[in-house]
Amino acid sequence: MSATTNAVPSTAKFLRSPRTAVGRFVAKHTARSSLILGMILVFYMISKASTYLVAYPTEAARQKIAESLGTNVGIEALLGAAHHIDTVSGYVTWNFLCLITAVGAIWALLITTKTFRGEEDAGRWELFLAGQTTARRAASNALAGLASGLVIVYTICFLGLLGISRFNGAYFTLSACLFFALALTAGAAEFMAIGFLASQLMPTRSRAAGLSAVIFGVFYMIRLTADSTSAHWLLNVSPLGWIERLQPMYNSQPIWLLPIGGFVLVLSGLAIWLAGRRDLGDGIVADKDTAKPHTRFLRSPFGVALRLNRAVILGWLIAVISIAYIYGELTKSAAQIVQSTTVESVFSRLAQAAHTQAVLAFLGFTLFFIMLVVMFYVASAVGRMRDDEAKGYLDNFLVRPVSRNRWLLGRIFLMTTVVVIACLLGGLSTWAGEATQHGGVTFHTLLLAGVNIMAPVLLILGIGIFSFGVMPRLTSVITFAAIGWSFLITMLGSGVSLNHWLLDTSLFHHVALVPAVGANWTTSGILVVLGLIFGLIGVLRFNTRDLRGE
Amino acid sequence: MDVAIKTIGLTKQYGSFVALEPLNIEVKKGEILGYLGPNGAGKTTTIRSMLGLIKPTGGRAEIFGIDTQANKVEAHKHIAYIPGESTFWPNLTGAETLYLLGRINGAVDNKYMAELIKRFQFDVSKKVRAYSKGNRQKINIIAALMTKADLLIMDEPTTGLDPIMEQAFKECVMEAKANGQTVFLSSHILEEVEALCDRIGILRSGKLVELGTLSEMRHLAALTVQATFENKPPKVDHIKGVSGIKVVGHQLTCQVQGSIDPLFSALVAAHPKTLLSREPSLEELFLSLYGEEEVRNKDQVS
Repeated sequence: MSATTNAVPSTAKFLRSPRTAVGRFVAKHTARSSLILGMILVFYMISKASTYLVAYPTEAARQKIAESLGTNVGIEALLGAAHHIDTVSGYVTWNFLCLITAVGAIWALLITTKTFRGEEDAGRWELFLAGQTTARRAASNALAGLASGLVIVYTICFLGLLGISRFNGAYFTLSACLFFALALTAGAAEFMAIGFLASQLMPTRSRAAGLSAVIFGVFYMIRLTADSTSAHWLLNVSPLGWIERLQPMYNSQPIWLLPIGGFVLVLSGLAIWLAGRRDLGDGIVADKDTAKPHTRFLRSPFGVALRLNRAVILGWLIAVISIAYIYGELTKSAAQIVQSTTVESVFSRLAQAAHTQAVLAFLGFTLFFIMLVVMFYVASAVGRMRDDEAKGYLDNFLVRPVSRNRWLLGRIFLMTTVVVIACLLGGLSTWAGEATQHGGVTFHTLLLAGVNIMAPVLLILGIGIFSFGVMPRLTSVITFAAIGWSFLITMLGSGVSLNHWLLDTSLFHHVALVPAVGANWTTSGILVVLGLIFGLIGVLRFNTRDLRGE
Repeated sequence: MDVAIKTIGLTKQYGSFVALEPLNIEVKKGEILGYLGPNGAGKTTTIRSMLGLIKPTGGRAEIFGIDTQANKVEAHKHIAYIPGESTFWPNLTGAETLYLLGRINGAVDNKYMAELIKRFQFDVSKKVRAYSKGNRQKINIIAALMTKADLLIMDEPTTGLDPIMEQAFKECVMEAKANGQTVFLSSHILEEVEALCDRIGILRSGKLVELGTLSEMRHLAALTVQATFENKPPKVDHIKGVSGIKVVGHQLTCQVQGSIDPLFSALVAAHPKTLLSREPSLEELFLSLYGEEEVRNKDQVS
């Protein structure tokens, strides 16, 4: 026997079976992102739970926050309906469920459309189908592989909850932890099924992801409307609402697992059936393979970037406008909560101001949230820029009389323009929403607030360009990590006192929450200069390094 | 400027791995240079270094006297490149892609583009994602040829093309040569290189081991001799330089390296009915060169 044969690890016959090859491959490639997601969620859960225990140590403090939060439609729109939040279990349910469901859903739709449609677009899926399998078997196999990633996230969440139950003052039973972890991962399961179905319907990954994102947006808005108006029945028609109906930890309603499970099974079954009915490379939804030429924009690398990204950019801008408008509308009711002394302290820490008007504090927080959304746009745009290099599209320009600077600066200009427009629209839409409720905050104030959030976003853009130039294969990871780290530290710092060195590592710690506090243009200037320095290093390095594939 | 491409000690290393040993090569204006080598020999590394897509570890390349690292954009004004793999934007049509690449390039002969589209039987109305591999490669070929650039750099340009399209491609390359364009052709298809190229460079493990015309390289492989006799063929195994002797009935086939005189005298003395000799093909040259390496490797192992 040769050395090569000896080197093959011995595995059970079942695990080596060609029938499970696709599932094993997908499981292996999903495991890392599942682990990372699980760890982030657990870090968030532990930090929030410990913050609550430290910030509200007494029954009286918890009762007070419960009275404020439990009757406020504004904050309920953000985090879902507040029940029993004078208890640790009620508070963590309220804080974790909607947020983690949303994060899990987005992760699931991205990874599912990548696995099914992205692999097919890249021509790798046909290698599977050329093996001892059928389209339906390969699809169900891959779904099983993705589900193993879900099991990893579930297990980590369960262990995290078990860890929290060891905190002094918190006690969750084993069955409660098992059920809560199930509720936390239900959103990911639902959107895995939606992403799977969208991948069979649509002919490209971007369209499958786009359709899944639109469905997510619709379900999210239904849930938000149900929680912020008297139409609570709307929760029954949104799969995200069903998860809220589970009410884990304080009044468990496992009956709602039935529609969730049924939804996942029906959609998955339908997707598997459709996988066998379509041609490779096509979607069920007919898409024309021919088109009349439209040459507008196709005159320069910048024009191509604008044309190929315009739908995505429009999507982000609509998201910013919608979120800003809705939150603007909720300002008056949400502001009631800030008048509670306890909660004011949290907002004050966030805003780094001792006292502030309730409406202005909420608006400051709203602009902070919009800034976060625009930062996510930047991180994804920088990631797409890197994709152009990794997939070889960039070669088409650089083998012609196009300098690296011309290509890169065009992309930077496009991203910067979108950032400026998004921030301004964020401020204006918040004002428009707030004006419908006669909150009394001026147009000028919120326009200024929009300008104020540009600086930190531009720093994130600079960090993205820096990583693209210096460590291109880690571009997305570094950019998202910079946002994630800042968010975590800021959230922790809003509840408990953290070492100032640690707080300083958060970009958000240096952001004045205008209009809750006055703008600090000196700090904004420093952030922009730092962004420029990072960006400049990235541009210079990109000019001298090799192009690198995937 | 009579020199289209000049590399001076062009080197590329990835860590301790030497992908390209110092390369010194000159391609004259109007010449077609074939660039051969097995997978991983460093052909694409050479091309990507010349184009400035990767940074050489040492040395430099010049295109019509312009340093390709220091002045990439100026150098690229003279170049059209055909890669072996095509990565175009899947949602653009063939027409849109050709329009875009033409606009970026600056100068395009629209009449010639229309002619190329016709010759390659290319349907420009389809979206890129709907094209087969061969049709996608046609975009690369048309986009490069339509510029009528001074220098055509080609890296496995006929990948995915059917034999009819390969023939159309060869005709286009010969037309380019007739127009005074220079061609740097990296290819695995030896017949293509043999038919098109004025000179051939052979790369082995990142090192240029041979460079010259086909006739200059004939010494690398033996001459094939075939003779038919009335009776049993004569014994030739004692003659210096003779190898690969095969006797089938009254026919003798063998290879001879070095002087043919002793073998010729022996065969003539036996009064042959027919006597044929043939020079080695490029394929035989190539295999002879790599066969030697394989034998050496085996010797080292044993």
